[in-house]
Amino acid sequence: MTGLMEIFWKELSDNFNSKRFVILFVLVYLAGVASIYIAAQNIRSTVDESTRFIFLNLFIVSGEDLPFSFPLFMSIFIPIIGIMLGFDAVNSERTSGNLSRLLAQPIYRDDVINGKFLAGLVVIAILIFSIVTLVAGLGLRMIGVPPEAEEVLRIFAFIFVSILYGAFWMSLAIMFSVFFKKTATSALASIAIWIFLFLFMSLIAGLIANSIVPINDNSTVDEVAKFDTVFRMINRINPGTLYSESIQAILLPVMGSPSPTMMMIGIYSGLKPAPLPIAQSLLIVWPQLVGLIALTAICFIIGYIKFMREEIRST
Amino acid sequence: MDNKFVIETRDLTKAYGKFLAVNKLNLQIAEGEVFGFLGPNGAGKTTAILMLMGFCEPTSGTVRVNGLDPAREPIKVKRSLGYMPEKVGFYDDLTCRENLDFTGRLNGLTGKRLPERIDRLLDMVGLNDKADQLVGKLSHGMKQRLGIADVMIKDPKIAILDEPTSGIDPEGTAQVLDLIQEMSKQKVTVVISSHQLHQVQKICTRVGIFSKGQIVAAGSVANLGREALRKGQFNIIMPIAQLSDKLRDSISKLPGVIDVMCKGNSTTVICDDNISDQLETLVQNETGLKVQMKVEEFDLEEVYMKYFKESQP
Amino acid sequence: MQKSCASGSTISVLNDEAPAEKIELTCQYPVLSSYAGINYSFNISLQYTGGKDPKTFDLKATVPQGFNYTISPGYGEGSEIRAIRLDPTKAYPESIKLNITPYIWKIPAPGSYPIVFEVSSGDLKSSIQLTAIVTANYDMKMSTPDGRLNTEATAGEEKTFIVKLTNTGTGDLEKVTVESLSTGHPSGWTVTCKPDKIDILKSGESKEIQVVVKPSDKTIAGDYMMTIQAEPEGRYAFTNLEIRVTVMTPTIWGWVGVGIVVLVIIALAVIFIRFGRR
Repeated sequence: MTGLMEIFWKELSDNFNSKRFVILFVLVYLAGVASIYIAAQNIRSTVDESTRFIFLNLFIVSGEDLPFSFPLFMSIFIPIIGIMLGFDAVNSERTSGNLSRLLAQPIYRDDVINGKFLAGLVVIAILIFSIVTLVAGLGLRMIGVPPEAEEVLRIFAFIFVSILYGAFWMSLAIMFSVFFKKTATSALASIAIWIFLFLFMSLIAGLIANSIVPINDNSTVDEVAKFDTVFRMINRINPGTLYSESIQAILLPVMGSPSPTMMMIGIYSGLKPAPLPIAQSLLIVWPQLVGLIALTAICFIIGYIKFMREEIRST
Repeated sequence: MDNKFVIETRDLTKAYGKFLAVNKLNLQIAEGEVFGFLGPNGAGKTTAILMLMGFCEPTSGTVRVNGLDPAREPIKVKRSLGYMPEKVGFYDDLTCRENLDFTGRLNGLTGKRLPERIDRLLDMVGLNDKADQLVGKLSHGMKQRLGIADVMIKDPKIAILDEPTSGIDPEGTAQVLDLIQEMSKQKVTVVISSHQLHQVQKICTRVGIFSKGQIVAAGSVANLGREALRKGQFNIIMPIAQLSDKLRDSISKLPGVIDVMCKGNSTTVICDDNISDQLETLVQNETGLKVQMKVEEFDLEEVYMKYFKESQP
Repeated sequence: MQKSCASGSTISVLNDEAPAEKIELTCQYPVLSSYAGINYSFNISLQYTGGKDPKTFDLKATVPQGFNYTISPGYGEGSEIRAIRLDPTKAYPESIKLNITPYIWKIPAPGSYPIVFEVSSGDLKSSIQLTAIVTANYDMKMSTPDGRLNTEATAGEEKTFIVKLTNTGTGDLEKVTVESLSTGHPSGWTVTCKPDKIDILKSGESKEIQVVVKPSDKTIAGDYMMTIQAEPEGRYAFTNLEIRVTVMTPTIWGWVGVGIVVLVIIALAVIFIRFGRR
């Protein structure tokens, strides 16, 4: 336990002292404040007296000329933060010659990887918690409408899911840092996966779904719905999809099932769903959350096993 | 030397596929020894050390460090076992003091004892003026010395130093070797691996010569020399072609003399100790001649080269 | 602006002299009606018959108190005329214009004002009765006492500001309703006017109205437009006033927001100091 805690504290301290981390911190804060400023400017055009969760809208609204909402910005920054915290976790220790010295101390071998993961998790948590509360405080100052108790709960749920998403990217990066001896390689591998998922995943999912359920302009609503189901099932391999679906359900409670296509059909058929209670929203995103946790665990465990079975050579 | 072995291996074997990095290694190192693992690169020294540390599991055979199996009870073993890897690395963005502090904490040292200990060790390795400098700015030799401080912070019973002098200048090497002797004085059993023989010879009480994963010879430097060349440690060469029987007799009776040989224009006296002064007096008394004595010290290099050659296919 | 009368009655006074020498005055529209303060312009035709030679006639009008008059040629712009020379041999009548102007500083009360227009040349006289009807002018103006058209309010809190309603017309206005329609302010707000009904607002009179506005507590800080309108019963004298309401963040939530921001910054500073090595 001493070993784990000492490594945890040291890693935490390392992170808060590293320049790249401070730069990213500042960047995230600036972007967060900018997005909330834009939201506060534009929120009045999207809400009225009948809007149930005005405060939550602060986290959803984006500008007309700058489509940059807070969750969008989070979904871009969180993978970067996660990758940055994890990509050199193990291989930098190895190349710097610290790893064997470290493991010669009376600590368990997994203390190293666990301590690093834990420290990264805490850093992600601090970053996300502080940016969301900062933004909420600024938003409250700007719009003057206090959140309801349920909105506060939803914001906490949003923080939790965001931390989870960050944990996934960090564990993926840690896994690569165990497998690749060079830090540059592991960083590139993580970024490559991110870019693939971010840019190409939905394209590929669309192609596959279309080959299973072909749709065209004459398709019936049923066919479109079926296509949508298949498309989303495939897309859910992407943790980014799981994340965006979760925060959609949490921050946009009026949308029962998070699906752009279904929402479109809903609009056509004049359906205007009432906001769901938070318990219902969480129930809806439960599979997504479990998926994110599972993906995080899988990546971490693969890295963990590889690290535990590896021979520790100084060169 | 007492019989309590702090490191003991029995038929220790490590195989990578068909390649035997360590092949049935039997090793016994007693408390207080400075034991040298000697051998060319790739002879299996580092692999043997890794198994002593529990960093890799033996394919077969057993390891006991302080009577414990490092693979099964790593924490207990590492509590009293210091290790300095080859090419030791520190956190470059921390100071010397912070690096040592971290190691100390990993060993459960806390409170006021730790900074005192760090100061004492930095003093010992001569880095007290660099204590608050970033490790990244230290020279290689300094890092090596810091490595020794790092090993000593946990107050180990055994210290394993893998190539502690590789890649540093002669002055740095001398400092490191002094420190190892200092460790030995502090009742630490030291195992060092090296392919640089002079150093090992200077400080080791015993050496084991590695070749192809096996120890081909082990023992004190003197014994090894004797064993290897069946000769003493010193050859004293006198430019005398013929010795009278009487003189030969008296020389043979000198303490430590093993053999007296005449060869060509010179006579060689092989002995345990450097008895050149006594020999000179004796020869002068007997023959009235003042002869020049040439003393040849045996060094391990010859022993090593011999075994190294033997192990070549 | 001339209002036409339905019938073109002719009033003529004849001279009883033997050779029927007479001057005939006709006006097609002898009764004109207009809002107070507006000029009346009567077109009068003069026909001189029976004489041998052309004669010069003096022109004169008798107007009620508070009015001025000018006479000008019937066609084209010309200077003010006081006399006209008429030729009896001419077969067509001469035309002049009688302009009645109320004093600009005193708007005449609504009512009927008789005007007599006379022409005379020696004993030959003629006159015509004309009537200028001043109808009442119904108009209101809304303003604020200090002229500012903006106010500040806090979400969820009442704010009172004062608007001034003035009867700028010449007629009295009855049962004036003052209110803010639901379309005149953001939904969820309550706007009440005190009084919301004025029984009578005499001409030239002003009344101050307290407008109590309460933005809903869910109002997002920012500027909002609000319209207050007033309308009397039975008269067309609608007026309204747009007020810009700047909704401020409620003090407590403003401080809570600032407090959260400060707390986060302090917490981060503590974390960075705690973990900062140098």
